Amino acid sequence: MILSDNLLLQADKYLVNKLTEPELSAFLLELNSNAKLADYVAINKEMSIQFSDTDWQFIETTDANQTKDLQTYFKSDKAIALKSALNDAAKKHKTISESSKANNSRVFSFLAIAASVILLVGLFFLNRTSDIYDSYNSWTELPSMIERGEAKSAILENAEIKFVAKDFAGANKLYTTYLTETKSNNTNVFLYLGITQLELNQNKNALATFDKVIDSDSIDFSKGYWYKALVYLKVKDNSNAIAQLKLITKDNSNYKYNEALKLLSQLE
Amino acid sequence: MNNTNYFINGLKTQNEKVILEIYTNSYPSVRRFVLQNSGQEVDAQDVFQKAIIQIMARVQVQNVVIKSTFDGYLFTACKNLWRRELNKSKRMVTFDQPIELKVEANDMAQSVLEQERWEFFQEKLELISGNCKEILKRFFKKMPYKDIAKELDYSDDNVVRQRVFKCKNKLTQMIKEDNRYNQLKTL
Repeated sequence: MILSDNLLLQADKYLVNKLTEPELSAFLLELNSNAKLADYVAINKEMSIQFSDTDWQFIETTDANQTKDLQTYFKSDKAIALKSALNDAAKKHKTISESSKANNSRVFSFLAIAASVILLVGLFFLNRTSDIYDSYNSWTELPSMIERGEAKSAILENAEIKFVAKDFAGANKLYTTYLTETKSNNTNVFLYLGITQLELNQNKNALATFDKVIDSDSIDFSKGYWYKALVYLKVKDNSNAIAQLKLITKDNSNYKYNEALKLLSQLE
Repeated sequence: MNNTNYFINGLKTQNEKVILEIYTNSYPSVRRFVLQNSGQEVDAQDVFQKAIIQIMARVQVQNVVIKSTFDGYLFTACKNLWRRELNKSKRMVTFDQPIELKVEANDMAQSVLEQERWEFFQEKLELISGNCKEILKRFFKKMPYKDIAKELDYSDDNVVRQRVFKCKNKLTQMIKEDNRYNQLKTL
């Protein structure tokens, strides 16, 4: 039996608690007698938990074998010794952090020396850095708003046509107009604008635009780190590029996580 | 820069220097995350240590191979563990009768299986096409259809609704076709 569109709509409303009292009673009756519907509700419920940022899916295992080996490990001398080693390290780490705070001035001098060393290393790698930048600046991974046939603005369409034709000055003007007129917070538009700025050597503006992506509530915020890293690579500022790449590698759900790891291994 | 083996071996042998290095590299961001999400210093310490012990259990008992960096893997494990703790306390308040407190080893083992299942779902979402992934990520973060339309430049919320429906079906099918989906009963 295939679930009707109406039943699926009801199920979706049920999952977000949007059914009225009478609708809910009727739906629950159907849910008890319709295995396919129960299945649909169960998997959709779990997906909404597994992919949320706040909920957690608990499980119940009736098969003791599934947890037996794990439980044995957690009770083992090995695990207890590890816990004790972690406790010792925690204490040491705390002592070190506190003493390093007290010695801030010394740390600053050290950082000044370290910064010079990094600068020298950066100069040494000048050529390699620009090679790296050249291998990442095709911009083909940017989502096309035209290809999907759903760009709702003629300005955005024209801007993208100019962008693809490498008329970055023309595209820059149109993206700026679009953002000024619509007050849009569209992350993709900011990304396109930032790249036109980068291509026009307006590097400070490009960094500020990518900061807006980072500060946005968008799920794509981490793209800002990646494009900032590219700005720094273009101007051969290795230490700042490394700093941005390190921010990406803090969380494996960040944009270009694997590329960032690869680049770091080349730069460091 | 894959340093995972270095850290795993250091933990296996309880190498003081390596463990201290893990603290220096990873603890500050975990601490910041927990403090920003209703936790205290003591919670951050607890989550950090539990996550490391659970990772070692997965590596040594289940032979799990960590494909990302150790730092990134540990941070995700800590984030999930803290989310679990927050939801655990919610469940205990919501239930009419407090659920029986399980012994620590059992709770840790359940937590490992839950983390495994979480990774299974994320793996499936990664396999879906780029467009579907973008739209579903927003949908599951409970972003309203009209905001998804605006952010991804779809003409209106009806187009988004239809896309969500199609993409969700595709993802559901992929999840159900994998045997791992039926291996554990969820609560």
